[in-house]
Parts: sequence; C-alpha cells; structure tokens
Amino acid sequence: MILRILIFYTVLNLLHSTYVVRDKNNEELFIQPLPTGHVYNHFQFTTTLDAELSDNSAFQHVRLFPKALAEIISAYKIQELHLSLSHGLWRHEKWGYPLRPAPPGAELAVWFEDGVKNVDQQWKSFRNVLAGMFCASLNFMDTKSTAIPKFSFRPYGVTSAFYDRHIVSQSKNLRYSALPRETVCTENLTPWKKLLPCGDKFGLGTLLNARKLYDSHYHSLSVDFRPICRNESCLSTSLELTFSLAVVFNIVDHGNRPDWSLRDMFSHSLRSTCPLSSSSKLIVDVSQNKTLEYFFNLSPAPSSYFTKNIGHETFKYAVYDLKNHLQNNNILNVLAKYNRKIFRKKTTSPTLVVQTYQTGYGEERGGVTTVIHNNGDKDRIIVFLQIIPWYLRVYFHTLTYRTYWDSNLLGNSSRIRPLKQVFTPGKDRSKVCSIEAVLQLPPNTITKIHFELERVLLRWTEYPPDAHHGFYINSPIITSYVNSIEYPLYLRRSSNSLSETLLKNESDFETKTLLRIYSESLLMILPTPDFSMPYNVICLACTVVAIGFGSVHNVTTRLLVMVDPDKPHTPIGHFRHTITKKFKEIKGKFLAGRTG
Amino acid sequence: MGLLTSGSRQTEILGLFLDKYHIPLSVLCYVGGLVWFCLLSDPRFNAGTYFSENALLTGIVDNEFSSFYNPSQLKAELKAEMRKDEERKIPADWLYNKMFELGLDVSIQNFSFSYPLEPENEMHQRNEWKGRNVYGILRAPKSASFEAFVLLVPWRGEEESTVTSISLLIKMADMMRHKSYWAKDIIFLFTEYDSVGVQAWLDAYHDIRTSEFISPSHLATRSGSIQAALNVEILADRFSTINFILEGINGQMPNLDLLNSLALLCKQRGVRIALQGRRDKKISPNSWKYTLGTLVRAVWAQASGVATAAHAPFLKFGIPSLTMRSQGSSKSSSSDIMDIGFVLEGICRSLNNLLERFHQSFFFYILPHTDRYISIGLYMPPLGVMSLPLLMRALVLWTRAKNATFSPIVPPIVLSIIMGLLSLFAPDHLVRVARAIRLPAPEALGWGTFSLHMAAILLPYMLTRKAKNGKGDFWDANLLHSVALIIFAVSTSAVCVLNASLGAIILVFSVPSALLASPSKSWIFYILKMILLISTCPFFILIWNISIRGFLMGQELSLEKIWLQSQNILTMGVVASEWFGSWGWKVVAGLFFPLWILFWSCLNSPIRNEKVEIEATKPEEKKIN
Repeated sequence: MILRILIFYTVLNLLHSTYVVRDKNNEELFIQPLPTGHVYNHFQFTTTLDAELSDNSAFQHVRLFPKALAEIISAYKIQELHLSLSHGLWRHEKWGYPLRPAPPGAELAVWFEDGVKNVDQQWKSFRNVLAGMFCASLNFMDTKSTAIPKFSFRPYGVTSAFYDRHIVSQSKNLRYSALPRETVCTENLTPWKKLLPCGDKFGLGTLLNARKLYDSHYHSLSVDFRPICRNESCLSTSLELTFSLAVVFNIVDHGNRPDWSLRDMFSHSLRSTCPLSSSSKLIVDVSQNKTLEYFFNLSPAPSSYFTKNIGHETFKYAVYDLKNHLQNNNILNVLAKYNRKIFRKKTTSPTLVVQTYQTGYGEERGGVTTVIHNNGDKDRIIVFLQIIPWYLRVYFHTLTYRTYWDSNLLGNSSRIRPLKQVFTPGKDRSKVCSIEAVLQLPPNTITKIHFELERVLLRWTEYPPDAHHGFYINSPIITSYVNSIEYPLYLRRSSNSLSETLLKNESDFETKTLLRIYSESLLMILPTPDFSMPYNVICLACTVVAIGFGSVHNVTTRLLVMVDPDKPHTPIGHFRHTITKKFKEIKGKFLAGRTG
Repeated sequence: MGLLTSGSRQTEILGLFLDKYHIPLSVLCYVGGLVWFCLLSDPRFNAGTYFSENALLTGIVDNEFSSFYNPSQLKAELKAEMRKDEERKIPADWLYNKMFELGLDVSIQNFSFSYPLEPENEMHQRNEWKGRNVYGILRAPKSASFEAFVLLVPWRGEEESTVTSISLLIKMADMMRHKSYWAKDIIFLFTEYDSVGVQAWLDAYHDIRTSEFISPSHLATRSGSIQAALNVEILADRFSTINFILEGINGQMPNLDLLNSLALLCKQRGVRIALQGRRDKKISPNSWKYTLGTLVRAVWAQASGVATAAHAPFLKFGIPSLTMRSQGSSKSSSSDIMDIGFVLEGICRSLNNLLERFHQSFFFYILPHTDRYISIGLYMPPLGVMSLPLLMRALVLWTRAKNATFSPIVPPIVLSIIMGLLSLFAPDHLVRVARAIRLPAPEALGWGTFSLHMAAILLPYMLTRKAKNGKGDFWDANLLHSVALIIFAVSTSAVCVLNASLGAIILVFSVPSALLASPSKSWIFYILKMILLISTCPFFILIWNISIRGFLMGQELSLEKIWLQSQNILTMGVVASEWFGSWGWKVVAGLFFPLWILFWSCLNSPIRNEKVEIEATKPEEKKIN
C-alpha cells in the first residue's frame, strides 16, 4: 500500500515537473484621447516563455506560445523578429510618438542567431513562410528591396556576446525590408488574431472587429519576438512574443462633443477576459484632464488611478482591472463624456519632427528632401536611414545635410558633416540603394537632408499592373535616444507589458529611451509608356518591321564572298601565318640542306 | 540632295514637274489646308468626347451634399471680414481659423514677387509685393498621404469677388471630413494675386524656384503627389452658365477626361456650360457657325501661351487642372451655388476613385464644343498640308540656285541672328534706358520693338549698298530664300507639335508672304510684295491679332487704342515668360523675327546683271585655262 502511494506520488511529481507552467500571457488595452480629437487605442498581448533560445527543446512543449510561430522561429534560428503591417500614417507632429512605431505598409526586421551560415538563404525561406502565415506579400522582400542597415537597428532584447562585438560587423545577421505599397486588411488580421491565446473568442480580442478597425485613420498590427531577462539578475532568459495592434479613430465626426466609448469604437462592449491570461488591464490616459475648462469623465469608475511624475510633467492613468470588472457576467463599456464641445488648440510639436517630400517635377529627374526639426534645447544625435529602390538612381554628389536656424528655411544655414555615413549604391535589378548617416543636430534648428535622383525607364515587362499609379519609396527612418520626458509612451526594454512600463515611477527622468520615427513614404512617377492599344500596336509593328526589314536588308545588301578557311583574317592570324610560313621555309631549307 | 542632284531620269522629271506646277500646287495646298482645318469644327469631321478612364465612374455616386451645408451665412461672415481690411488683402487668419476648426492641417505661406520689367535700383533690388496663400489639407483616412488633389480659389478683394466659392469650399470641407472613404488628401488652397500666388505655392510645394521674380517661403505642411487641381471661381450666388477655361501656359491642356467628367456632372445637375465664353448650343447641321467660332477662339486662346486663369501653373507641373468660372448673374438665373456643391462633390469622388494618375484620354486636342473634340491626329494633317508649299518652293529654288556659292548668304543670316538676339535681350536694356528718360516700361517696349523692326527693314539696304555699283560678291536670292524657307518650315513644324494653335496662326499669316519673298523686277510686284511682307512681320501680326480680337468682341477700334493694346501685349509676353516660363515671346523674338529679316533680305536682294555675272566668272575661266 505504501509502495502504491509512493509510486502514485512519484508519478504525480513527474507529471508536475514536465507540465510546469513555463509560459504566461498578459492582455492589455491602452486608450489615449489625442489632442486633435482622435482616440488612440493600443492592444497588446504579451506571451513570455521561460526558456533559453539556445535550448533546442524549448519549443517542444508550449502552452500559450503559438505553435506555428514557435516552429518557424526555431527552424530558421531567429534571434529577433519585428513585423508590422500598417495602413495610414502616424501623424507624430500632432499625435506625439506611438507605443510601437511602424511605417505605412509592411515592415520586417529579422535578426538571425549567431552561427547561422547562409543568412540570405534563411531570410528568403523565412519571409516566404511568414508571407503565407500572415497573408501578406512579404515574399516580395527579395534582394531588390532588402537592406542591411549598420546603425539604425540594434537587437532590442538580450543578446549573446556575439552581438556585443564590433558594432558594424554584427549587422551581418540582420535583414531589413519594407513594402510601402502593401495594403493591410482583414486577410492579415484574421491569421494574426488566430495566434492570440484566446483568439477573438474571449477577452480583449473580442473587440477586434474588422469592420470598425479598417474604418479608422490609422491602423497597425505587429508581431515582435525577442529574448528578455527572466529576472533582475539576468542569469537566464525568457522568450517574449508581443502582439500589438494600434488603431486611431476619428471621434470628432460622431457628434459635437468628442465623447467616446468602447461600444462606439468597436461596436460592442467587453464581456469577458481571456481565462488563459494572467492579467487583463485597460488603461486610459487621463493626463489631459488637468485643465478645468476641458475634461472628460470616465464611467464606470476605474479600479485605480496611477499618477506618474517624469521631471516636472505629471501623467495620470486610469486603470481598469478587467478580471475584477467582468466578474459575474458583467459587461464593461468604458465611456468618456466631455464637459463641452470639441475644443481645438494648437498642438505643441514633439521634440523631433520629421517630414519627407519629393522635389522637382517632370519624369526625368527628381529629388527627395527630409526635413528634421530638432525642437529640443540640446544637441541631438540621430541616425538617418533612407532606402531607395534601384530604379531611382541617387546622385551621391548631391547628398547634402544643411542646418537652418530660421523656421522658414531662409537666412543663415550651414552644411553639417555627418559623424558617420554609409552609402550603399544600388545596382540595377539586384540591389537597393541605402543611405545611412549619423548626424549631430544643433538645438532648435531645422536640418534638411536632400539628394537628387534620376528615374529609370524600365523594361516594359518590369512595370507592375496599374503602371501609372507610380512607384513607392520607403519611409525614411530617424532613430535617436531621447529622455523619457520627451517620449512618455516608450516601452521599457526590460519590461514585458504595458502596465510595467506605464504604471511605474521613473527613478530617473533622464533615462534615455530609443525613439524611432517613420516619416512619409513617397509615391513617385517613373517615365511610363502608356500601355494603351495604340502603344501595343506600335510596339508590335516596330518588332515586325525590325525583323522583316532587318533580314531583307541583310540579304539584299550583304556581299557574299568566298573565304578560304585556311587563310587568316585577323591581324594576329596574319602575324602567326607569316611566322609559321617563315618557320616552314627555314625548316624546308634545313631539310633540303640535310637531304642535299 | 540625292533626289534632285543625281541625274537620274525619274528625279529630273519630278524636278521639272515641281518647277512647272509648284505655284498652283502651293495655292491649292495652302487654301486646301486652311479650309480643311476650318472644316474640322464641323461635327461631321470631328469626334464625340468619351470617357477613357474607367476608374473615374463619374456621376454614379449618391450625393451627400445638402442644404445643411449652404454657405450663405459663411459668405456674409467672410464679406464682413473683407470689409475690415482697407487694402482688401486676403483674410488669412480668418481662413486659417475656419479650416483649423474643421480639423484640417492648415498653414499660411508668405511669398513676395517683383515685376520683371521694373529696373533694379541702386541697391540691386526691385520693388516687392508681398502676398499670402492659405491652405488646409484634409487628411485621407484611407492612405498615408501618398496622393492629393487641389481645390483652388484665388482671392480677389474686388467687385468680381470669389467670396462665394471660398465659403462654398469651406462648407465642402466640413462635409468631406466626416467621410472615411477618402483615399487622397484634399488640399483647399486660397491664393492671393491669382496665378502668381499659385505659382509661388507650387514652387514651394515642389521645392524649386522656376522664376527669379517670385520668391516663395517654405511650406510647413505637405501632402503627396498632386493628381489634379480645380480652380473654382463662382462669382455670384446665382449664375447662368459655367465657363470652362482649359488653356495653360504655352498652350498646355489638361487631360480631356477631367473636362468630360465635369461636363457630365454639370449636365446631370442641369447647369449650363460654356467654352470660350460661348454657351453650349445643341449640335445640328446648321451649328457650324457656332462651332467654327468656338474653334477660332480656342485657337487664339491657346496660341497666346500666357496664363489664361489661375489653374495654368498647375499644368506646367504636369498636373491636369482647369478653371470653372461662372458667367452672368441675376436673381432669375437658372443655377445656383448649391449646384456647384453637387458638381464638386461628384468630381472629388471621381478623382478619389482614380487608381492611376490621369493618362488615358487626350492631352493634345482643340475643342469646338464641349461634346466634340479634334484630336492631334485630326488637326496635324491640315497643318502639314499648309506647310507643304514651303518645302516645295524651297526645293524648286534650290534647283534653280544650283551654281550659287554658299559664303555670300552667311552675312544676312548672321546679321538676322544678331537682330534676333538683340530683340530677345532688349526688354531689360530698353527698360533701363527708358528709366533715364522717364518713359514707362510698356511704352519703352513698344517703341523699342518698333525701332528694332525699322532697323530690320533697313538692314538689307545697308548690306546691298555696294551692289548698285556692281562690285562685290553678293548672295544668290534663290539660295537665301530656299535656306530661309527650310528653316521656317522646320521651326513652324516644331512649334506645331508643341503648341498647334500658335503653329496654325503662324502658318496662316506667314506662308503666303514667305513664299512670295523673292525679288521681283517689276516695281509694282515689288511694292505689293513689300506691303505683304511688312504687314506680316511679327509686330504687325500682333496688331492684326488685337484688331481681329477687338472685332470679334465688337469693340471700337482706334489707332491709339491699338498702339496701347500692343504695348500691353508685348509687356504681358515678357512678364509671362519671366514669371511663368511661357516661351511665346522668346520664340517670336528669337526665331520668327530673324526669319522675317531673312525673307525681307530675300525680297531686297540685288538682282544680278547678266553682264556683271559674266564679268565675274571670266577671270576664273582664265585661271582654269
């Protein structure tokens, strides 16, 4: 009997040790009313798995970590993965900086593990697999649109010693590409939703109603994978997978007062939380309620408020603990009611503002200008990255960096020298051109980065459908380190959930945080033949004439002469011929002498 | 020269044939070409307009514009604002606030410009005028500011005020911002100083300087590449017709699809439309008078090559654009501002539908009626036929001048080129000199051009002064005429391709005189030819132009009036070329004026005495012997 009990406990223990809970999940929603009358919603679903990346068996037993992703991450030896699919442009000059910045269209940045031999081959297979998984055209991220930036991207998570070596050489395991033309729709959202622990059946996922999400001013969904420290000591790592979805609604339009509620925005209220996630939170930024003339009231009342001071600024967040609010089949519809009609005031520009536009007109030449406003009162070091497709040939000699002190870009200006600059020229039909520069921007200045380019006349088979629509140029990327006060919504590198970042007091407000700004993508016209019926007829007729005329002309005008194949007809042949002739003569004489 | 110099039998026959019959053939070609060109206005010889771009889907959306957005109250507010300012400058701050309240990205652009014909002062500066443009961008929810289109109203603080269309556009913005279907940003642009303001805005938008006399300031907010632009000039609440103005700088035209869709939308709303200020009539076999009249006016308008309305600078940047201007205003007029609201909504929806930029339909066409168009394929053959006599005559003269030497014709050619350069660079210097004697710039230009023509008229007499003594080596009239005709033919055909209307006008006026510019022994013919040639010199063509236009408009004409008008037109030509890059003035001053001098020299060539010729050839024979 004792033996039996012993055996039972041993088996139980064994079972327990194999099925130990190694992964956990958080679901969070952050809502921030923007000064322009829009409302910014950021969903974040974070899954952490306590395992080492180097451990081959790490993904053999997963509970919440999506199996599909786990398999390809281990198969292709991915160190970090950052994928975003967005539609619309985040207007940072009015809205401030988002929690997860993303350019219009699709963007994919992948770090492969140390020791991966054939990175390009892995990248090719990986992006194809990912394309199938998210129903996006990621398979078009071939060598013609893939770049390896040197400074702009650093691994975001914990890395092995390999990545701490020379800063430039380690980029060889990075592949970056973006497709601004990619349109994002339900076909991308559905597979994305399926990877969430509760899908769209329970929890915050139920709010992801495609009809509402795509009727918005900005929409972005993203997947980020990185290894993080398991605890403070950082002796072992965990793997973190973050699904985030940002959506900006234009609320002003629905009435005179910019009132909003979950039901307005997502067409239904919240009924449940995901039973698999360990915490479900809804955080509302109520910082703008400081003024008495214009504020909103939240109903129902939140579970708690959190006040955070960064320097002399105060941020206040209302926190709803959904696990409490949704007990006993309750329904939650967070509603914000304003005290008066829409009140527009000029927004203060954030510390770095970037704007990109094309210059010149016509279909032969053109230019691209990026204007960076440094509104801070200190020098700022930024990294500028611009990737240009090969069919726009950049004139390197026209690349200038000029700083203006006047906001109208008039008067005094001076050329500045980049601290570092990497220019990779494009190659026709095989490689993108990339410009990467590290610049030091003087305080309160405007810096203009400008270069000229030539538009290539493509082969007629190389034009995409709707050729006259134009061709896209990727968003320039500005990367910089800023104080947390300048970028209050940053995600802390060490934390793995929104609440850990937002609902935590800064010990030091001078903490430097990474800020990435995506500027406008451009649509550029290339010299395009009109692919109309007359054009096709002309092409065909010309071909027929060329073939017919060419052969007839050849036959009628060529003089046919008999050529002795033994006779030389090149200068070298002549030379050889005379030498061999001479040699034969001498040989003949010699032989004749001998016989004679 | 293989055709006419190699002695084969066939080519000899062709040469002989041309020699014998080129005069009747030339007359036939010229008259035939002219008649053919005029016949194109008849519906039986041209084609009906149609939609090439399927994506436009014009007129099939349900209108959402309603009387809720009636702009009358806003208009009253704007008028009150306008009266506050004595100078009647653009109420930029008011416009800024109105658009800002709607949530548009608003910005004000400052620009300054100076007058090209005003000489610099001691500080090398010119008097500057300052203007402001206000624009608001309605951000499209469905895209990341890749593309945009522009709705434009130039501000005029005068009687023919555009406050009506400005208030309508603001109301349109109010309606449009609620919609989530916009895939292109919509830019509402209000400019000062008409085309100059538009040019300043476009220069800044594309970050280039196209004129040294217009200096724009940097734009704070921008959108993507502009796909189309519409200038809405509704001058009254009720009006009878909407007149479409299409012609741009250097005769550039917007894509025909843009006009087609606007015309269709107007018809749907029952708004009467017009071209060249002539209200559309129903096409019938008897309407040839109407269509021909419209065609002639269209040719005049296009040939001028200057900015006809504020939409013109857009065309220079490859952006299809046109102007809708209301005509006639009375309480009983059939259409009102709300109709325009519906039309604008319709065209915005159509432009929003566009997947590609305008490229399908036609860019080269002349319109005799809003429903009928003459494409480049139709109007080029008559123009070609009209220029054929030039080549025939040149060939005949070439064969006749077989033994002539080339070197003597160099001086008149070089001199005419010098005269051309002089007239090209004259305006600046003339104005500087005129300032010293306190003559206003237009008058200085008028007198300057006049005196240049006088100098040109005297030029051949100076060159041939020695000819009367029978000394010196002089040009062969046939050779010079032939060369001049070939240059003339080449340059007119080049102009025809770029601006067909200008080419047509040059051909109609100058072909007879160019053909007849050979020296004549009979003094009666000589005088007649002289009168013909002088009356078709560029300066006189200008005067004919004014007189004919005046006649068409039914104005009273007097010599003084014509003189003043021609001064104005000369000034306008120079100003347009400096501000907007119109090349009409340059082509006339630098190309057709020297050509005219060549023809004039031909007419005044010394006629060789047979004796002189024999004497001149004798010494050579001796040498050979």
